[in-house]
Amino acid sequence: MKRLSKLLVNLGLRKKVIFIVEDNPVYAKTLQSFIHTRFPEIRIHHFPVGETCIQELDEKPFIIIMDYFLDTSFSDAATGLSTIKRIKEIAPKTKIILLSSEVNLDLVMKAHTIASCQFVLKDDRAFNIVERIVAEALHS
Amino acid sequence: MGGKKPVMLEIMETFLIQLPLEMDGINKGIESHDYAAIKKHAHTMRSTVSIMGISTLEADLREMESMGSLEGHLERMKQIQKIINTTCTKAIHEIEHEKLSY
Repeated sequence: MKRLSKLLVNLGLRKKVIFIVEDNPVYAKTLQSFIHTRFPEIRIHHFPVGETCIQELDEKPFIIIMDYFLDTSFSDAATGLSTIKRIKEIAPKTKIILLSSEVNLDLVMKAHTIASCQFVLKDDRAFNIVERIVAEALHS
Repeated sequence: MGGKKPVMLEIMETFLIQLPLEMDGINKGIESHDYAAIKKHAHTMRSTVSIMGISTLEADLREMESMGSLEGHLERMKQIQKIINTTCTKAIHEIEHEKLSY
Protein backbone atom coordinates (compact mmCIF):
# COMPACT_ATOMS: atom_id res chain seq x y z
CA MET A 1 0.00 0.00 0.00
CA LYS A 2 2.83 2.37 0.94
CA ARG A 3 4.66 1.52 -2.29
CA LEU A 4 1.54 2.13 -4.33
CA SER A 5 0.96 5.46 -2.63
CA LYS A 6 4.55 6.56 -3.36
CA LEU A 7 4.38 5.30 -6.92
CA LEU A 8 1.22 7.28 -7.58
CA VAL A 9 2.86 10.43 -6.22
CA ASN A 10 5.97 9.84 -8.33
CA LEU A 11 3.87 9.30 -11.44
CA GLY A 12 1.99 12.49 -10.76
CA LEU A 13 -1.21 10.48 -10.33
CA ARG A 14 -1.66 11.41 -6.74
CA LYS A 15 -1.36 14.84 -5.18
CA LYS A 16 1.55 15.57 -2.90
CA VAL A 17 0.63 15.99 0.73
CA ILE A 18 1.51 18.53 3.39
CA PHE A 19 0.69 17.94 7.04
CA ILE A 20 -0.06 20.88 9.29
CA VAL A 21 0.22 20.05 12.99
CA GLU A 22 -1.25 23.01 14.83
CA ASP A 23 -3.55 23.18 17.87
CA ASN A 24 -4.86 26.65 17.10
CA PRO A 25 -7.78 26.09 14.67
CA VAL A 26 -7.82 29.68 13.39
CA TYR A 27 -4.11 29.63 12.62
CA ALA A 28 -4.35 26.16 11.08
CA LYS A 29 -7.29 27.01 8.82
CA THR A 30 -5.70 30.27 7.68
CA LEU A 31 -2.38 28.59 6.91
CA GLN A 32 -4.18 25.74 5.14
CA SER A 33 -6.14 28.19 3.05
CA PHE A 34 -3.00 30.18 2.21
CA ILE A 35 -1.08 27.10 1.08
CA HIS A 36 -4.06 25.84 -0.89
CA THR A 37 -4.32 29.19 -2.70
CA ARG A 38 -0.62 29.19 -3.58
CA PHE A 39 -0.31 25.46 -4.32
CA PRO A 40 -3.72 24.08 -5.36
CA GLU A 41 -2.04 20.89 -6.54
CA ILE A 42 -1.10 19.95 -2.98
CA ARG A 43 -3.37 18.13 -0.55
CA ILE A 44 -3.23 19.42 3.00
CA HIS A 45 -4.10 17.50 6.13
CA HIS A 46 -4.47 19.18 9.49
CA PHE A 47 -3.81 17.51 12.84
CA PRO A 48 -4.36 19.24 16.19
CA VAL A 49 -1.72 17.08 17.94
CA GLY A 50 1.47 15.34 16.88
CA GLU A 51 0.34 11.89 17.97
CA THR A 52 -2.36 11.72 15.27
CA CYS A 53 0.03 13.04 12.64
CA ILE A 54 2.46 10.20 13.38
CA GLN A 55 -0.32 7.66 12.84
CA GLU A 56 -0.85 9.02 9.31
CA LEU A 57 2.76 9.05 8.11
CA ASP A 58 1.81 6.34 5.61
CA GLU A 59 0.40 9.23 3.57
CA LYS A 60 4.04 10.21 2.89
CA PRO A 61 3.81 13.96 3.45
CA PHE A 62 6.66 15.74 1.67
CA ILE A 63 6.53 18.57 4.21
CA ILE A 64 5.25 18.67 7.77
CA ILE A 65 4.57 22.08 9.28
CA MET A 66 4.64 21.70 13.03
CA ASP A 67 3.75 24.11 15.77
CA TYR A 68 5.98 23.86 18.86
CA PHE A 69 3.33 24.14 21.57
CA LEU A 70 0.50 21.69 20.98
CA ASP A 71 -1.06 21.49 24.41
CA THR A 72 -3.98 23.92 24.17
CA SER A 73 -6.70 21.29 24.03
CA PHE A 74 -4.77 18.32 25.40
CA SER A 75 -2.47 19.28 28.24
CA ASP A 76 -0.41 16.09 27.94
CA ALA A 77 0.10 16.40 24.17
CA ALA A 78 3.69 15.99 23.01
CA THR A 79 5.59 19.13 22.04
CA GLY A 80 6.35 19.76 18.39
CA LEU A 81 10.03 19.00 18.91
CA SER A 82 9.45 15.60 20.52
CA THR A 83 6.97 14.75 17.75
CA ILE A 84 9.58 15.76 15.17
CA LYS A 85 12.14 13.43 16.75
CA ARG A 86 9.66 10.56 16.44
CA ILE A 87 8.84 11.47 12.83
CA LYS A 88 12.52 11.55 11.95
CA GLU A 89 12.89 8.00 13.32
CA ILE A 90 10.02 6.76 11.15
CA ALA A 91 10.44 8.90 8.04
CA PRO A 92 13.90 10.51 8.19
CA LYS A 93 13.67 12.18 4.79
CA THR A 94 10.54 14.18 5.61
CA LYS A 95 11.12 17.92 5.43
CA ILE A 96 9.88 19.62 8.59
CA ILE A 97 9.16 23.23 9.38
CA LEU A 98 8.90 24.08 13.07
CA LEU A 99 6.67 27.06 13.83
CA SER A 100 6.83 29.00 17.06
CA SER A 101 5.76 32.41 18.24
CA GLU A 102 8.84 32.55 20.45
CA VAL A 103 12.36 33.45 19.38
CA ASN A 104 14.06 30.83 21.47
CA LEU A 105 17.66 30.29 20.41
CA ASP A 106 17.86 26.98 22.22
CA LEU A 107 14.78 25.76 20.36
CA VAL A 108 16.12 27.01 17.02
CA MET A 109 19.40 25.15 17.61
CA LYS A 110 17.66 21.96 18.71
CA ALA A 111 15.29 22.10 15.73
CA HIS A 112 18.25 22.37 13.42
CA THR A 113 20.73 19.99 15.02
CA ILE A 114 18.44 17.23 16.27
CA ALA A 115 15.99 17.09 13.44
CA SER A 116 17.48 19.20 10.59
CA CYS A 117 14.24 21.12 10.43
CA GLN A 118 13.73 24.73 9.58
CA PHE A 119 12.52 27.10 12.23
CA VAL A 120 9.95 29.73 11.24
CA LEU A 121 8.86 32.44 13.62
CA LYS A 122 5.10 32.93 13.69
CA ASP A 123 5.17 36.58 12.73
CA ASP A 124 3.62 38.45 9.81
CA ARG A 125 6.22 36.99 7.41
CA ALA A 126 5.70 33.38 8.45
CA PHE A 127 3.32 32.40 5.65
CA ASN A 128 5.60 33.84 2.98
CA ILE A 129 8.58 31.97 4.40
CA VAL A 130 6.54 28.76 4.44
CA GLU A 131 5.52 29.43 0.82
CA ARG A 132 9.17 29.80 -0.18
CA ILE A 133 10.18 26.59 1.58
CA VAL A 134 7.28 24.66 -0.01
CA ALA A 135 8.12 26.04 -3.48
CA GLU A 136 11.78 25.07 -3.07
CA ALA A 137 10.85 21.57 -1.88
CA LEU A 138 8.42 21.12 -4.77
CA HIS A 139 11.05 21.98 -7.33
CA SER A 140 13.96 20.14 -5.73
CA MET B 1 -7.68 34.68 -1.65
CA GLY B 2 -9.98 35.22 -4.61
CA GLY B 3 -13.05 33.00 -4.85
CA LYS B 4 -12.45 31.74 -1.34
CA LYS B 5 -15.62 32.97 0.33
CA PRO B 6 -16.46 29.64 1.98
CA VAL B 7 -12.92 29.44 3.36
CA MET B 8 -13.07 32.98 4.72
CA LEU B 9 -16.43 32.23 6.24
CA GLU B 10 -15.04 29.10 7.83
CA ILE B 11 -12.07 31.00 9.26
CA MET B 12 -14.37 33.69 10.65
CA GLU B 13 -16.69 31.10 12.17
CA THR B 14 -13.75 29.31 13.76
CA PHE B 15 -12.50 32.63 15.12
CA LEU B 16 -15.94 33.39 16.58
CA ILE B 17 -15.94 30.05 18.39
CA GLN B 18 -12.33 30.10 19.49
CA LEU B 19 -11.79 33.64 20.72
CA PRO B 20 -14.53 33.51 23.42
CA LEU B 21 -13.04 30.19 24.63
CA GLU B 22 -9.62 31.78 24.91
CA MET B 23 -11.05 34.84 26.72
CA ASP B 24 -12.88 32.50 29.07
CA GLY B 25 -9.67 30.54 29.68
CA ILE B 26 -7.77 33.70 30.65
CA ASN B 27 -10.65 35.02 32.79
CA LYS B 28 -11.06 31.75 34.67
CA GLY B 29 -7.28 31.44 35.05
CA ILE B 30 -7.09 34.88 36.66
CA GLU B 31 -10.09 34.14 38.85
CA SER B 32 -8.58 30.90 40.13
CA HIS B 33 -4.95 32.12 40.09
CA ASP B 34 -4.13 29.33 37.66
CA TYR B 35 -0.99 30.82 36.14
CA ALA B 36 -0.29 27.90 33.83
CA ALA B 37 -3.75 28.27 32.29
CA ILE B 38 -3.30 32.04 31.93
CA LYS B 39 0.01 31.51 30.16
CA LYS B 40 -1.37 28.82 27.85
CA HIS B 41 -4.49 30.75 26.83
CA ALA B 42 -2.59 34.04 26.39
CA HIS B 43 -0.12 32.20 24.16
CA THR B 44 -2.85 30.69 21.99
CA MET B 45 -4.78 33.94 21.81
CA ARG B 46 -1.62 35.70 20.62
CA SER B 47 -1.60 33.51 17.48
CA THR B 48 -5.34 33.89 16.99
CA VAL B 49 -5.46 37.68 17.17
CA SER B 50 -2.26 38.07 15.19
CA ILE B 51 -3.62 36.03 12.29
CA MET B 52 -6.82 38.08 12.33
CA GLY B 53 -4.85 41.34 12.24
CA ILE B 54 -5.60 42.46 15.81
CA SER B 55 -2.03 43.54 16.40
CA THR B 56 -2.93 45.94 19.24
CA LEU B 57 -3.18 43.03 21.65
CA GLU B 58 0.17 41.48 20.79
CA ALA B 59 2.19 43.29 23.48
CA ASP B 60 -0.49 42.87 26.16
CA LEU B 61 -0.78 39.15 25.53
CA ARG B 62 2.96 38.74 25.51
CA GLU B 63 3.11 40.52 28.88
CA MET B 64 0.27 38.36 30.22
CA GLU B 65 2.10 35.24 29.05
CA SER B 66 5.35 36.21 30.77
CA MET B 67 3.51 37.10 33.97
CA GLY B 68 1.93 33.65 33.76
CA SER B 69 5.42 32.16 33.63
CA LEU B 70 6.50 34.27 36.61
CA GLU B 71 3.35 33.29 38.53
CA GLY B 72 2.68 36.74 39.87
CA HIS B 73 1.63 40.34 39.15
CA LEU B 74 -2.06 39.55 39.49
CA GLU B 75 -3.09 43.22 39.68
CA ARG B 76 -1.31 44.00 36.41
CA MET B 77 -2.89 40.89 34.91
CA LYS B 78 -6.34 42.20 35.84
CA GLN B 79 -5.57 45.51 34.12
CA ILE B 80 -4.55 43.72 30.94
CA GLN B 81 -7.52 41.38 31.25
CA LYS B 82 -9.85 44.39 30.91
CA ILE B 83 -8.06 45.54 27.75
CA ILE B 84 -8.17 42.01 26.30
CA ASN B 85 -11.86 41.55 27.06
CA THR B 86 -12.80 44.95 25.61
CA THR B 87 -10.73 44.51 22.45
CA CYS B 88 -11.83 40.91 21.88
CA THR B 89 -15.51 41.73 22.39
CA LYS B 90 -15.16 44.53 19.85
CA ALA B 91 -13.35 42.19 17.43
CA ILE B 92 -16.06 39.56 17.80
CA HIS B 93 -18.75 42.14 16.96
CA GLU B 94 -16.75 43.34 13.95
CA ILE B 95 -16.23 39.82 12.62
CA GLU B 96 -19.90 38.98 13.18
CA HIS B 97 -20.78 42.08 11.15
CA GLU B 98 -18.17 41.21 8.49
CA LYS B 99 -19.55 37.70 8.24
CA LEU B 100 -22.89 39.08 7.12
CA SER B 101 -21.31 40.43 3.95
CA TYR B 102 -20.12 36.94 2.95
